Amino acid sequence: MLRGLLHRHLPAALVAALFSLPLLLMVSGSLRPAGLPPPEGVELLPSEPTLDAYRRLPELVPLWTWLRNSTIVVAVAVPLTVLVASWAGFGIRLLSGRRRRLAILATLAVLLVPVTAVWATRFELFRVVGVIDTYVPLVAPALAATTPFYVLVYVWSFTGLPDSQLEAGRLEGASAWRLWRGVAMPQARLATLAVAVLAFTAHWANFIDALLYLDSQGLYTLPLGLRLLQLLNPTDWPLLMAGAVVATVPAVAVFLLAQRLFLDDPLRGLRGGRT
Amino acid sequence: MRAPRQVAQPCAALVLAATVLLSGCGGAGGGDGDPLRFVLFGDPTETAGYEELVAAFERENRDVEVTISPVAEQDDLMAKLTTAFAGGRPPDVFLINYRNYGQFASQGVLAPVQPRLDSSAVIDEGDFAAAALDAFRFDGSELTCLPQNVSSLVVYYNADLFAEAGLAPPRAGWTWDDFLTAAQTLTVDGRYGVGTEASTIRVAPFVWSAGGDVVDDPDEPTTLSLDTGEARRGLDFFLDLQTVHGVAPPERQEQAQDSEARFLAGQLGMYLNSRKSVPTLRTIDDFSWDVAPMPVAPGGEPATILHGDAYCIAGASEQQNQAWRFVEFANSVPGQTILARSGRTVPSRLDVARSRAFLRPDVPPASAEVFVDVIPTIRAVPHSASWPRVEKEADEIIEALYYGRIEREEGIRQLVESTRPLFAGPGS
Repeated sequence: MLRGLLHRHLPAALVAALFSLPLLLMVSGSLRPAGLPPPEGVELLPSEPTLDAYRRLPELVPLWTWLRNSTIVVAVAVPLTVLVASWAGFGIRLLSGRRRRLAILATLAVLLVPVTAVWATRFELFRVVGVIDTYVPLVAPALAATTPFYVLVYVWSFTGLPDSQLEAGRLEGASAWRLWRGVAMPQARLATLAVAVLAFTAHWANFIDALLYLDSQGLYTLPLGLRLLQLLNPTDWPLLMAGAVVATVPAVAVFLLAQRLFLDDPLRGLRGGRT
Repeated sequence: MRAPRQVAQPCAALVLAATVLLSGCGGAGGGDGDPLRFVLFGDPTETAGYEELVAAFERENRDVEVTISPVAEQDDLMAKLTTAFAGGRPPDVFLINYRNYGQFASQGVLAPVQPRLDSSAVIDEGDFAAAALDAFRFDGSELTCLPQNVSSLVVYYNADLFAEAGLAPPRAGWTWDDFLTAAQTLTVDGRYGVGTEASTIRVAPFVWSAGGDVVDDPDEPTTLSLDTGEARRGLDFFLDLQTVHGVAPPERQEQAQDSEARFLAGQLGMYLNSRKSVPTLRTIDDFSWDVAPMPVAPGGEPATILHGDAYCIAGASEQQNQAWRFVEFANSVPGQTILARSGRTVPSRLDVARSRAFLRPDVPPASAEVFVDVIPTIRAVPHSASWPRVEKEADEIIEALYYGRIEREEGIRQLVESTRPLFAGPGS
């Protein structure tokens, strides 16, 4: 029994350990007293751990402003992304045979366009509209599902919907909107989890749009701000590490929370009218 | 069927509300005209100096408001600037290194500062170090941007290690032989004699001191000339430090702990960098350190390389007058004195560079005047539009040569051959 468990989980545990090592070093680096020369090689725990870096960081840079700004951006961009991606995905699912294949191919083709290729034209567009130095350029991609990839995630997920179920709904007179709400979305919880978490990390870590479109320091988001810390003296790297921890914690929290919300299905009780 | 609606409706409401909120906040604003947009690069302590400068400027110019947009690295700066220029909304003023402004100057998108400087009642061309000015004359005569600093490559050394080893402290005029002897003497017990980044701009002073040049024609370069005569002697001396003499950390050692960190830990005798290391080195409290000029080639001339940035004004700026007033203030004695206090750069104004605000007798390095004394020996690599790409390619090969990843003759042949097509540049 125990051996079986070990066999099943050991590889996963090893992979997890490998990936969490940098996170661990990030945390331990943030606990190092500032002002010391950086350690030679790898140091798992500093000899005199201190939270000093977390105290100094908000004094040196407007950390809370950056956090707040990033939160505003994801609060808008993530729900919008989920909404648009699932609508588009459901729309493609409702197409029949050849047209569906064409739509999927078109989505794939758009996915292949490198973002850097549209930097200048996008900038020009946002300039003409007069929204440079606002969050509109950062959030606007969410109106196009952030990336066509999220649309495809929903397409793949909705492909599992039996035609019979959709037709039954149609016969009852349900509109596409009601089918999406009542039939498709409840069965695509995993896709929603995946898209929400991916969209969160994408917008939370969006450095390049913040760099290109934001001028006022009061609007700076976390990734843009953290980048400034990278140039600090090597003796001040605990500050950079502390900043990285502050940036990572919300992402980890969102993942854990989303996993709970979507996989343990706490809404089931609500739907049944019970708590 | 009801649950999804319960989720979806507040969701949609939130999205709508937030979108309205978003387009509401941010935006330009400001009473009279848009604020002046000033983009610069640097770490938070550095940009704090510029905040102070802007505050001082705004106190004296109540009608102008300056938005300061710091970005971290030069790569980020280039991404932001090229996109903004291409998209038709460049910043009014930006700070840029002389090795990078060429691609903007060559497109004619900068408003040259020369005419405004000529008619300025506040500052005079003669106030500034010629080496810094010359690097920003894009066409060779008219000044395109106004230099903020005139930093250059120097040798930082651990004075305690020198004393323990019985070595005389390096002074102006010390030779490559003195340099190598010191480095060899100091390379003991896991310690190394000298540490440097392996790149074109580090090799250049050695090449110049030997009497050679990095390119065939500094004004209109068509190829690197590092494979020929005196230039080759300089390049070889630099590469030998690591590959032949072993007085510099090998690649793996450098990756485990870079030279600056190694110097801070007291494990490196000499460290080559520009003025920007000084604030970091001032955190050292367990040994004494100082600064010396670059060593001179046997029978050669003293030479070092410019690390300079300047304020440029965008030709598309609608507030060029205000932009100039800011640049003028930043380069007046009070303006440059504010930035001199940070200690990161050498002021381009010679009067400020010689002032106590910059020399700071109260803090190390004791020989701070070295940064001023070497100014006449400062030279610069080309500032043509194609130079950044040449340098990037060359740096990769120089690093491979320095760490012995490619054979010397083959590497140097590649260095010259693979960069030659890049000189033609994208614009021609």
